[in-house]
Amino acid sequence: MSIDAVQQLVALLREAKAVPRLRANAVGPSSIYDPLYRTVIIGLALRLCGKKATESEVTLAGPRLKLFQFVAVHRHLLPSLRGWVTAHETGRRPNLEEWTSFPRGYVADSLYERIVTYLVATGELRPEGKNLVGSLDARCLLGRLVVAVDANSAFEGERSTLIELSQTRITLGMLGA
Amino acid sequence: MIDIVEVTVEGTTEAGSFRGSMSFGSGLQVVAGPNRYGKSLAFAAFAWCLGVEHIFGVQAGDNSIFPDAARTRVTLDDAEETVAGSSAVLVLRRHDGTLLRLRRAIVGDASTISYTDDERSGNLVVGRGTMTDPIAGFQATFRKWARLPDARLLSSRGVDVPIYLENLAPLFLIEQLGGWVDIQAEQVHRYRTLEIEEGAFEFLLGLDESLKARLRKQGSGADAAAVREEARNISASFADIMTAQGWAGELGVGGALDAVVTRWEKLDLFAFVKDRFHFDPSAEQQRVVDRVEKLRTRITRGKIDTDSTAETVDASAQVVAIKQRRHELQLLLATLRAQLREQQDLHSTIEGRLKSAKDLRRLKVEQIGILPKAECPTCHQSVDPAHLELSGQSVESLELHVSQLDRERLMLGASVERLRGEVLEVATKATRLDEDLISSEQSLKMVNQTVGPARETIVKLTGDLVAAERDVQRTRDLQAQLDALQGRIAQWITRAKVAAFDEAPSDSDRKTLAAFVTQLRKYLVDLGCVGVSEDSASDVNLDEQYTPTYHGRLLRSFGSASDRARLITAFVAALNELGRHHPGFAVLDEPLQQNPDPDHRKRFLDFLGTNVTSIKRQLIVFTALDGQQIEGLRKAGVGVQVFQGKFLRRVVAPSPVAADPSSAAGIRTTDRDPDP
Repeated sequence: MSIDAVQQLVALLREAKAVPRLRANAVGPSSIYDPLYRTVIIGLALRLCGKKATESEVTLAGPRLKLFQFVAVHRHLLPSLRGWVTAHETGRRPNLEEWTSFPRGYVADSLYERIVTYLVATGELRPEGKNLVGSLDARCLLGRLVVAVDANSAFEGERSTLIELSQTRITLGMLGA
Repeated sequence: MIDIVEVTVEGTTEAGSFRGSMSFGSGLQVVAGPNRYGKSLAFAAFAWCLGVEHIFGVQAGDNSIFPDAARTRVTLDDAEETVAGSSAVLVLRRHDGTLLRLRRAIVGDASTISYTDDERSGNLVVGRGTMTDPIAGFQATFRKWARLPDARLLSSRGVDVPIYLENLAPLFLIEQLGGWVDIQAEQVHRYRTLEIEEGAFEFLLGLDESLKARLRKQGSGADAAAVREEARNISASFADIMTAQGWAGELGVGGALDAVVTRWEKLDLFAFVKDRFHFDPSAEQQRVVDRVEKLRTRITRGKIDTDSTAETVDASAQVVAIKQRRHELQLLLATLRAQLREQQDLHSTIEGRLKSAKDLRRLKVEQIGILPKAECPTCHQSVDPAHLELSGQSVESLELHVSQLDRERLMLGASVERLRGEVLEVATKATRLDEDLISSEQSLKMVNQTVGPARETIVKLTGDLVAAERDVQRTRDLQAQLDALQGRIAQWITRAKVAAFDEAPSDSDRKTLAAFVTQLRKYLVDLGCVGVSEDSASDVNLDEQYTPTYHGRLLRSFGSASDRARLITAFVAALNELGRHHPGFAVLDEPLQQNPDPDHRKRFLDFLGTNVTSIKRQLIVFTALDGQQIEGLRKAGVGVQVFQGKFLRRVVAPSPVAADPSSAAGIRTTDRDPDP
């Protein structure tokens, strides 16, 4: 729609004395803020990007986990992330937190923090230095979720993003940790 | 019409001969006898002698449709004997009194049927050639005798095949096991005849025009899929023409085929282009032709100002104007392309979000992964997700979000399509402008190289003439393309109408079908099928496959299991009464076994009693009845033959009594004597 058309529409609405009305019952909160969804993504990130710690446990650096799960949920950021990684490789070192094309939501992603707190409190995750260690055993919550997601072939977009991230070299230094 | 006069099964053993025979009169009659007395053996003999044993699901000539008594071992006077040879004999009578005797070996060579009528006698082949060989083929000869017309339908291999007698038999020979499963449950599909159920019904009822129209429709090759594919091709051709002009447009091919036909019938491509793109090819053609004429006139006869330098200025201004316009278009194109990329990215993001939201909803619906209240492993305090503000969304809330995303996806999809069209349009305009620029620059170059104002003017005018003639050709090409496509659309409509619309049945067919439906309704009411009453009978109709419906749903889906037998009885009996190319007899084997409860058995027998006078054609019912039921039927005027012993008996010696088939078979005919 061109600017002219928008202006025409505005004029028509004004002429008709149209009053904007919000139907709150027709608006649902986005699913990306659902704790279960984010827990699933954390489980997938551990499985697809983590390293084996013990027979049934995997480990992943906390800052990486935070970045990976965030980008998996916001897949449109992937090209920008690639550019940021390339910039690092070529010697330019933009800080992630100063990076304007990265949404502020990443820095203040409190939902992730709360879920990790819950998972640590319930013993699903265990902090080890900068790393988070979790079990993907089917008897554990994260393990059960990952198995269910695999069985339902769910969240394919997120999985493919995480696989790509697992092959991208992102150091803790790049993340300021 | 034909009546079954007599059926006989006879054979030999080392200990002598055996034989069973029964005779039939016209109209409704019941053959009653206990189970295992030979009712189904007699029924099998009908099918065998008519060469339609296929309806039992066997190959031609497979005598396993008969019980052991007719094939291997027969019990005669309590002694079991090995069958050395046996055969079945069926005597039929045409309405003019002509008799036909068919005899076919059960044990022995079953590949032929011995055929004897007033005019000829001989062995006729069953199986291959039965229909195609007019001299030696059984079905070809029998049809001629029975005065049944030939009819054909297309097979899935694309060749037309006859409707065989075994395709018709499931509508007049209802066998006790498979025959009661559904109407035409024993239809023979091995010839891969398309729409054989509908065709068989149309043949028997005499819906001749409908049957011919069916074959025409099949033969036209206008199956819906091919027609739809052609519509897509036409739409793609149209889109190509539009793209070449820098327009984005397509012809909708979605929806039902008849809806597309209706839309395209009103479609005038020239009007479409004029309306949508404000381009009138005829007017444009006229405009450029006029311009060409004017330029020609100016070059050939116009006055040339020998002092004017206007043409040089004009040519130069033209180039500048085109360059300016081209620049504007390129800017617009860059903006549109950027918008398109952004919209596409957004569309893709929304699609991803939608899929994730649906996946999450599925997990929640299946109650997978509820975050539980748990105990902290170190402080042993209860850890409730709610305390950490981790309250999950409900399924309803996710539903709302999914529908919201879906709406956004659709809106963005439409926006992406529109932008794509705009990009295409502007890009094509830019390409055209490039061509115009090359032409104008060449013209300017020539004008600049020319010496003298008069020559400059002529060169400029010639350049303009060439450009104008190119425009004429372009417009002509567009007109020709639109004309050709309009022709393709017209041809497509003719073809699609055959596929999309059924030919309206003729008045005669419509009346015949209406009479059948009326008769069917009456029988359904009389039989108490699924509670159809006189008041609700008008809600019984036939769908396109001639399957009875009730209140718009298939009638067979109503009621109890035993209602299926009542439905089939009503259908077969109504068709028998009214079928114009029906043999004129129908045989129902054990309909009462499908009606186990006393109320329904009584209702069935009442139906027979009520309709005994109105059933004009031969309807033979084989069943087991007790004495009271037999008495009741006789009182109502129904002819009942009762098995006095087993159907197959030892032939002791030729005697006048034994020569009477009824006596020989242990059949006692009462109330209604069979015709001679």
